[in-house]
Amino acid sequence: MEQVYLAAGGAAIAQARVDTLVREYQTKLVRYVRRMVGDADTALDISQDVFLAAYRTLQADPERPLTAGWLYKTATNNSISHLRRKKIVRMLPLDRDHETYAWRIDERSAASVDLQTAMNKLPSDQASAIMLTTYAGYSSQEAAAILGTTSDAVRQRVCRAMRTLRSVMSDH
Amino acid sequence: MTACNQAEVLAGAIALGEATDAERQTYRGHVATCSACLRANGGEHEIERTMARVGQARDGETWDPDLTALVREKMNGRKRLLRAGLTVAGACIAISLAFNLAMVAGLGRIAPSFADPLVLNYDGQRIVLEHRSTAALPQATAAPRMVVEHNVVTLTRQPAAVGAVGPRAPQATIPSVQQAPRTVASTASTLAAAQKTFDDTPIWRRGSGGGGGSIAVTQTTTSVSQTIPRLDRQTDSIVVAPAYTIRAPEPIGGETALTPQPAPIAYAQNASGTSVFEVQIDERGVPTKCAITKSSGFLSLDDAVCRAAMKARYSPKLVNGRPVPGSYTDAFTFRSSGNGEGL
Repeated sequence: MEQVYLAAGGAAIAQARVDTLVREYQTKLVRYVRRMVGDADTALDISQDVFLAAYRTLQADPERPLTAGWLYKTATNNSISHLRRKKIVRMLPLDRDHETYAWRIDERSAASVDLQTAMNKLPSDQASAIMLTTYAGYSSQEAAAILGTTSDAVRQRVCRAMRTLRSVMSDH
Repeated sequence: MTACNQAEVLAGAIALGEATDAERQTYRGHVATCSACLRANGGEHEIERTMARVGQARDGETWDPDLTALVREKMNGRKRLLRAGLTVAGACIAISLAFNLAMVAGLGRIAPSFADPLVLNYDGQRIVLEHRSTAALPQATAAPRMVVEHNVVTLTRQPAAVGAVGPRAPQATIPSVQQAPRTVASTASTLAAAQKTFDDTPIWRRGSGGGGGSIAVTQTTTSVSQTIPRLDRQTDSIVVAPAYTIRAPEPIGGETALTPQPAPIAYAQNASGTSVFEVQIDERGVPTKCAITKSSGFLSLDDAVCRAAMKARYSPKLVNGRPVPGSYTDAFTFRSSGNGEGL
């Protein structure tokens, strides 16, 4: 019975810690994921899955330190998995105003459209590198730690992503 | 890493605002000599302007969804699911334990037994279906549970035969049989009457226990010895008839050629007893009819004995070397070892 009480206490601690993580990182995380996958609903689903994964992890070990890097790493992996599945099955929106819902009117600036157009063309490693450094605000070393690569590789990926963005901007 | 690849790394560092002055100087020196890198990546100002575009898009975002309630609901749902799973698992374990306890305590049968007859009402008729045999019965040949004793009844009825000793006739009978030609004399009708007298005499004796075979032989021999003096007394003045030989029919391959195989139901019933049969054999040695002269009390055993008797082939009865129709009598004793209970 003592184990049960300890487990119940662990679940409560995990839920409290996840609540804190959600309040602190939800906005940045869903925007990051939305740029990665290009869809608001999918971004919400993936973000919820990320926080639920954090809850499961904390349930197993309530004392485990979970940083924002862990959240972004999980979100990046989930987004890449989604993009790989998307290559096989193309998901079509049910409503015609899907684009309107996905991107608010005040978000449909030229810079936003150019960025998303470039993001749709980028491979997942370049997209995650430029989004982690620009949207999440990580340095090249921190992004390299999240992506499991070197800082030079991150800088190179950012440069190549920037090339695509430049070509998109010149086209418009 | 080539110079152009190094230039890409430096351009990335400039884009992220992490490039030092020395790195910027190196990049400037490379693009001054490499038009391809200059055209692809642009100069320092162009890189910064492009990255500023990304900053504008980031700063222009206003989407601020609230995931707190959704995530909390999923966490609670997961807890509820876990709790429900544990409850269902506990209920299953409890039901299983209760079932096992009930079965151990013998609190009634859960399902009708195979041994119970199934009663059906079909078109006003009451039909009772009994379970007579099951697939779980062991193969009789693989693990026989019934002891079959083969009681051989030897026929040595040879009142006037010289050298007419049967294949299994004991030596004790030979003297009396050999004396018969000198003392027995009869006309044809007298011989026929004598033959009928022998036919009416019981020709088999069932032994008791494992030594039944030898007992039967002794008794049969005794009956022959008692008969011959009676004939002697009647035939003092009768002319001695020409000698004739009779050879009784017997299974080809010996007595072990008959191998009765009772049906599986016999094992389930622990059937035991002695079946005595008589099979009619024509002049070709083919059995034509089988009759149970003494039943074992179990139809399955009697049926198995007759089937085995009709399946075998026999050497025909020979009278003076001429085949004639005859009969062969034998007995089988079945003893169940008792292991068939509960089948």
